[in-house]
Amino acid sequence: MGENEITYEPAMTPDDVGATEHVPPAMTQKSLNDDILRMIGKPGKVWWAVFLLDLTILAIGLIAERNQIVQGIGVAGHTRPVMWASYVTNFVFWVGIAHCGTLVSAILFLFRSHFRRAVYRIAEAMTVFGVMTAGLFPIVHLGRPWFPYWLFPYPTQRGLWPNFRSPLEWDVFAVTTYLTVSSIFFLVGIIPDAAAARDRAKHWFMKLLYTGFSFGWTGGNNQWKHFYSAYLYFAALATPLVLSVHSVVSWDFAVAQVPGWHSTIFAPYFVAGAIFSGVALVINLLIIIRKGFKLEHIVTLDHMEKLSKLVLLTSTIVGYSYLVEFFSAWYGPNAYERNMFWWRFTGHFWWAAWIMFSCNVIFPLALWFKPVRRNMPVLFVLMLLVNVGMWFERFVIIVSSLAHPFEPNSWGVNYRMSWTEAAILAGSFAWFGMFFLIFVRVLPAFSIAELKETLAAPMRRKR
Amino acid sequence: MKPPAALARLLNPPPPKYHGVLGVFYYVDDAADAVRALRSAGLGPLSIFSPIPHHDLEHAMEQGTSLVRWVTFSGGLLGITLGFTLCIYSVLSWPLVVGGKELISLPPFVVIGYESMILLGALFNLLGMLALGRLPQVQSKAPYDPRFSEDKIGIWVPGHGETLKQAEQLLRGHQAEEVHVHA
Amino acid sequence: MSEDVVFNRRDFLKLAGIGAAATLSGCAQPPTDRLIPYLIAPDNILPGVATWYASTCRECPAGCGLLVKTREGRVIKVEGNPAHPVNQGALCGRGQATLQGLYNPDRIASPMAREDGAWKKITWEDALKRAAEKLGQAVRDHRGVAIITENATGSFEKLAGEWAGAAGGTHLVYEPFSYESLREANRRCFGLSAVPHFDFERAKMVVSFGADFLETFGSPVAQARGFAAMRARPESGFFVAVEPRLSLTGANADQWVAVRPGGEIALALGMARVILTEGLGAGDKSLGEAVAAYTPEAVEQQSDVPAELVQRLARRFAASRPSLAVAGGIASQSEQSVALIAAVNLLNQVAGNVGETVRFDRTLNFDAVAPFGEVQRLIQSMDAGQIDVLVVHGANPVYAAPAWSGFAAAMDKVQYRISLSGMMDETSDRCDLLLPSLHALESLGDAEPARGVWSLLQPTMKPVPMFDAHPAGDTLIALAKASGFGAFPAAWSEYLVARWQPLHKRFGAGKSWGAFWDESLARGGVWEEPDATQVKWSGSPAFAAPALKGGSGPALVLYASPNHYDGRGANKPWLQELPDPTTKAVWNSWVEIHPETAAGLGLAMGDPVKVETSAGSVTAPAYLYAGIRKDCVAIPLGQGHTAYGRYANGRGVNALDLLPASQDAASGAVAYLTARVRISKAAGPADLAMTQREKQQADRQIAQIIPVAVLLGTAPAPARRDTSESVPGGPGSSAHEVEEVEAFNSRPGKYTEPREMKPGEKTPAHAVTAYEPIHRARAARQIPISEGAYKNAQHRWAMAIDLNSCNGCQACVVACSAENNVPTVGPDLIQRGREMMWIRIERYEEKLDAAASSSRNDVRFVPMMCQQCGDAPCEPVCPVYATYHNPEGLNAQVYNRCVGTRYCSNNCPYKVRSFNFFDYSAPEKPTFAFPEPLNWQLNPDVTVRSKGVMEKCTFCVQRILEGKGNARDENRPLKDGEIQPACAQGCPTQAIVFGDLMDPESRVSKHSHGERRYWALNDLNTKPGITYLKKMERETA
Repeated sequence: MGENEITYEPAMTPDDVGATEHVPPAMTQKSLNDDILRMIGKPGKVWWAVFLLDLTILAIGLIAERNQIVQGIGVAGHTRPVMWASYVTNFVFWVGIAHCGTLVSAILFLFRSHFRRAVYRIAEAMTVFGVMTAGLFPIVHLGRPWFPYWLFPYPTQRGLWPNFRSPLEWDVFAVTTYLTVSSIFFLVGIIPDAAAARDRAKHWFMKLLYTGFSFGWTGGNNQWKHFYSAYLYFAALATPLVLSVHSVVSWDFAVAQVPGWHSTIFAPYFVAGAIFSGVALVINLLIIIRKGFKLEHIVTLDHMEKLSKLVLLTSTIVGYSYLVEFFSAWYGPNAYERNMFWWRFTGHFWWAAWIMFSCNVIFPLALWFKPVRRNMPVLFVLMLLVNVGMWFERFVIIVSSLAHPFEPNSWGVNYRMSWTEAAILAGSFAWFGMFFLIFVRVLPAFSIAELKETLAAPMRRKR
Repeated sequence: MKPPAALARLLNPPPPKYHGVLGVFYYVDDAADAVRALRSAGLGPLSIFSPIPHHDLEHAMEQGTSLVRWVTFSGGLLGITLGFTLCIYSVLSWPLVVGGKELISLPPFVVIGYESMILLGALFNLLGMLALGRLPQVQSKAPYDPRFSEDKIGIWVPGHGETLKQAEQLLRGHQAEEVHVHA
Repeated sequence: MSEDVVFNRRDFLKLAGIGAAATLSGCAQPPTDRLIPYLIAPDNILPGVATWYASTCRECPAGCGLLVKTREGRVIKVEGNPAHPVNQGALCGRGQATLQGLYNPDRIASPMAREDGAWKKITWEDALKRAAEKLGQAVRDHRGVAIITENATGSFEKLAGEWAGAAGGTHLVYEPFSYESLREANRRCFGLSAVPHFDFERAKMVVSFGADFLETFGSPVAQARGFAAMRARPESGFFVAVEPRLSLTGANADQWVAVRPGGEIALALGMARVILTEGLGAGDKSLGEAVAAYTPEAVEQQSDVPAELVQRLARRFAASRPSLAVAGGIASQSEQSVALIAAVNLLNQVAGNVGETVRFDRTLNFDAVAPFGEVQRLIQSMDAGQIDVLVVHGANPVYAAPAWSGFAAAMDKVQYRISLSGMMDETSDRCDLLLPSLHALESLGDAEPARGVWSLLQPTMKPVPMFDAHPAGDTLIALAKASGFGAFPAAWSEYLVARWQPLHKRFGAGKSWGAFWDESLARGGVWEEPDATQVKWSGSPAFAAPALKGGSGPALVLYASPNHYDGRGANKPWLQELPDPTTKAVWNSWVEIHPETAAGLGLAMGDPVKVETSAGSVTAPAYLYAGIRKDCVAIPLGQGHTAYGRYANGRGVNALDLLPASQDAASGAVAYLTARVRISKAAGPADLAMTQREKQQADRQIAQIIPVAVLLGTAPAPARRDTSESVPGGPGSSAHEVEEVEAFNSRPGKYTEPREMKPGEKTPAHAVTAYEPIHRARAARQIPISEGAYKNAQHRWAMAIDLNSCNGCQACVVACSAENNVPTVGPDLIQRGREMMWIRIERYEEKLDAAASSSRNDVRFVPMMCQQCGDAPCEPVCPVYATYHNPEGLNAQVYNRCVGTRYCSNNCPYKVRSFNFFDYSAPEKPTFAFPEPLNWQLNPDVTVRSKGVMEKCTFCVQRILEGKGNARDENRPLKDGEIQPACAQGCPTQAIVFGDLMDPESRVSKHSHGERRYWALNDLNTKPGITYLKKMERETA
């Protein structure tokens, strides 16, 4: 019996939902199918325009990358000592983006916070596409990008194995695992909705497609039973995974002894930062979608407000981490560290440091005010700023720490971003956008099944 | 526009011959009552189709807990073992000292073991779900109605002759919206 | 290049591969003859085994002895000849770079004639015919014929003389730095016109009046060695540099007296006066009246040097006997240079140094070098059209003679101009006919760089096939024969042999000529200890301080570039990319300005600044340098070529254009220190490529010093920083740090320490020599730093670098580039911090004070290369084991395995790993660093790295392998010092010692235990394989 309590949540009655925003009386199980499956289908002019623009930017990025492979990584702005720069920054940035999805779908699932139901599919999609984007950069930044497979442990007749002590090797495992698990989680969640789409599909091809996605789902009681049990364990596995992945990414830096990197606070600090930026991007995407597809009654202001509270929370965690870092640098015995942090805010890259601090700590303070949280245009801008800030956070950590190493001899050689890098950065956004644009047009962008659960189950006898 | 012939057959296969009664409900409590009645009448095994799962129906069916968790657990166990084994084998098979660290330097290997645990755990979890949930299924074992993915609940009582009548009465008795008999 | 003679890079590498295979396996099929241009019969060549030939360096007149390393008939490296009396085994950077003169892609490929303005390739027959026509004509009509050569000395100089004589013309030996004032001053003071031999080793104190004797003055390598020996004595060896701009030599001084330009003379005489009046000197007292006027107060007023400092210096100078005062460089090139040098002679005289440290035994051979007066006479007669034919070889007066001399214009008036130079330099470019000569490494010849030294040049390889050149001597003889004058032997070689007959009699000791000749060639020449010519004081010229022309602006200080000498080094990419030891700038000229002066003009580092005199103006980037007086600006010479090949042409400026007509009053030598300038900020972006921008070490203790008092035991060890307070800005004191450091380092790396194998412990399959029982077990604490990796380690290769000996000359950097095929990348990439050099000399300016009264001068040089850490931070972060610890303690780098994550470089605290950002080794790429035939120089034992991989110092692992191989073949243990990495081998001061830490008797072990040892960034616990020895800090006067 206890098992049944947690296999899935009880259907919500209007009063425990606080009816008003969550479930407009008009909404029925059928209307949900109508509203959400309406998104799927023939795209309009706007969509095509955006899509083509997106592909153009992607093409530019690809050309830049090709040029870099032919000529050598030197076309990027790296120097000695700044051997890592924008590519690794992008990697960490996109992995961070990818963290929100699993948080919303897994952690909030375990915490039973029902507002997630309206937003988690979007977030999960963002996770999968985010990891797919992030995964490109470790390859892009290699000096010899044609050998990335050397990092994978496969038996060779030369008996060579990768070095499992290297944080980069940890990345290989963490990121591939994360990509696999989050994709499975994403696709499994889609099964019942795909079935619904299938049952409505007109065109034979779409029918075939959704039959595939739905695994021939019929909503039988046996299917539901194992589905929800498995879903619970996915959540239970994804939660520690999401925490570990960004910790591992942070150890790329924390394990090295570079002043400004070698710090035990990195793991929690990076995880918080990741969720911070991820949720911010989800909010941006949702604001566009709910407006574009007229779904304000499904993704309500309440949902948006709850998400922005999440941003506020993580923002304070991130701000706290910054302060603790400075404090321990000042208070601690390591004078390299102290010198480093002073330089970080006053030296050559001072502007980046201040962009980071203001965008991640100061501006988000506005979220303390309810009107801000419920004002979509303002929220949109604020969230954009947050992600600018988060990109710069990684930039500051990576570049400014490297540019001021132990050896004074190599001071003053400062990194300058090259056009190639700019193009590839833009291309990465286009790459992400391409998948997302296709996604909203092909798969149910909201979990119909879970949204139905928020409706009062139809009862003849009122309890 | 028509699909190629081969696909056409796959997409809408000739409906198999079903033997039994299908009751279509809208109200959950009606359906639950019907299930109880049918089961007490010794009919079944029943199968229920619904757009979303309902506790009432589950309780009525008295179905136990899924076994998926054991599959998942064993997957995780296998994963962590493989992770550590790989690391330790690789350093022993070709011992190279780096940074003056011990060949079998466990702390870094923990990361590998941990990630492998989660990876295999998740994969086994998926397989478990598919196997136990009989997915993917090409052919439904009862007549399926597209409305089941919208807002209708279907109860399927397999059977022949006498049982069909009994089942039909019970279903109608519990205000089934529709009752289809497949003799 | 013709494919059938030369072989392209790919074949070369193939061959190299075979060679390498041969060194390892010992058996390899000989490559096809077509591939190898053999110098001697194939059966004398063992592919893969180097053949060495002795020869003589011709990069400057010092004439150091060379050992030339050839592989498969190809010169791949030059090193110093240990047997040679001049340099005794070491060699400066310029000398090592002579290779790139030999393989310079811009060498003249064949005889050429100028036809209506354009150069046209012609055959030798044709060329000789044309030349003979003009020459014969001129000789028959008794018109003027002139030949200009460099200071070749030896037989060639003789031949040129005879040639000119026979042609009824003049022979002019031209050297920009001709030491004529020095010779003139010595003639007047001692009645002997010679460049003396300064014995730095014996001196107990040295005062240098502008002499850059570690860079270009005299015989730098020999002097550097002597200087280091002197500095190694903690109880003495005090060195004071008196110069307005702190040179590299000055940077090594304990005390820098930033004298007013031209004030040196007063200081010298003032010191002499103090010694005389206080009766301190050993020398003769009769010189009192000559210096009577120079009271300390007068000196202070003339030179900005405080009176009491003058006295302190003088007393210490007289007290530490024998001492040495030497004048040279910029100071000795004013209008009063003879007077200054005479004054310094006088100072040496009264201090009793003449005959002690200033000796006329092994005097440098500048006897034949023409005084500038003669050059001017030639210019006049050229100008007057009295010269019909001019022949030039080696010298490049069009570039090196100051613009005001009007050489170029006059030369244009000569009817027919013939150049025998191998490179298309400015002078050749103004000629009508080019008869290219072989490079010194390709030709037979001799030189007498100093008295008692007869040094030989021999062809070390078959002439580089793509250049159709002849020996200069043969060309001269052929010209004479063709135009029918003089009586010369058939060939240059015969002439040379004839010249050597007397030497055979003298040194042959009854040996046959053949035996003697072969021995001499093998040895590199013959030499003897000449006995010193005794000199006595014979009066001095009138003393006067030079007046500087032109307004009240800052004085213009021109100095010879340590890298390019008088400009002849500028065509060699190694030297262009070799950072200037003072500014660390590359591929350019610059104007050194004191930061305060610069601030006044709103100049930042690298901003273009315009420097004007009445004679002209140049614009170059500013370098803000605290080591120059506020009322001076300095510009290096040697750049600003308008020809001389792709590497030299158009780089920087030629500051000679700034010189107004001005000569030494007594000798007529060109005055370089003579002008005041106007400086102004010019338009344009800051652009100065430097390999080291930050010259303060921010208390990171990379370069450390120790007071001599501590070494002498007269003072307690100073309290040092507490390791727990790791570096900068920490409250700098607590004596127990010393112990902590010991504990820190003597703690064996738990897993990097050899240990006995546990009973029953198994050796796994294909283990890299790990896990076998250790035979030579060694107490863990015996050696302070980690032993490196494996349990049966036989060696722990390590290095000890003595910062007290290192004078920052950077010979090691060139040696390393030559040995390890390190590409040059050019200024743009260096701007972006992408230099490839595996070793660098870091310069840290702890205390630079341009106030003349300043006491301590503290500039430190640290050779920084891979520290081969026992617990290397770079290793564990590599995901593919491209870098790992090898059983002999080396931090190995596997280029083929590297995927280029660059994590190792990020985690390297010393930042000594360089990354191939582009493809420097692919001929089809614009970044190709070895255009044919520069690639002929590549060392076949070392991989040429490809795009996208990390590389770094390997302690010259190929040499280690070779050494071990030889020991194994002769089945004996390795001898200490048998293996020498390129940097250690080339170091003129032997500052770098390499060896095996597991041999407690090895020199490196002893150094590593020495009192002055420390480890860079020690508190990171990387357990470096390189131990530094602290520089000694002396009490200043």
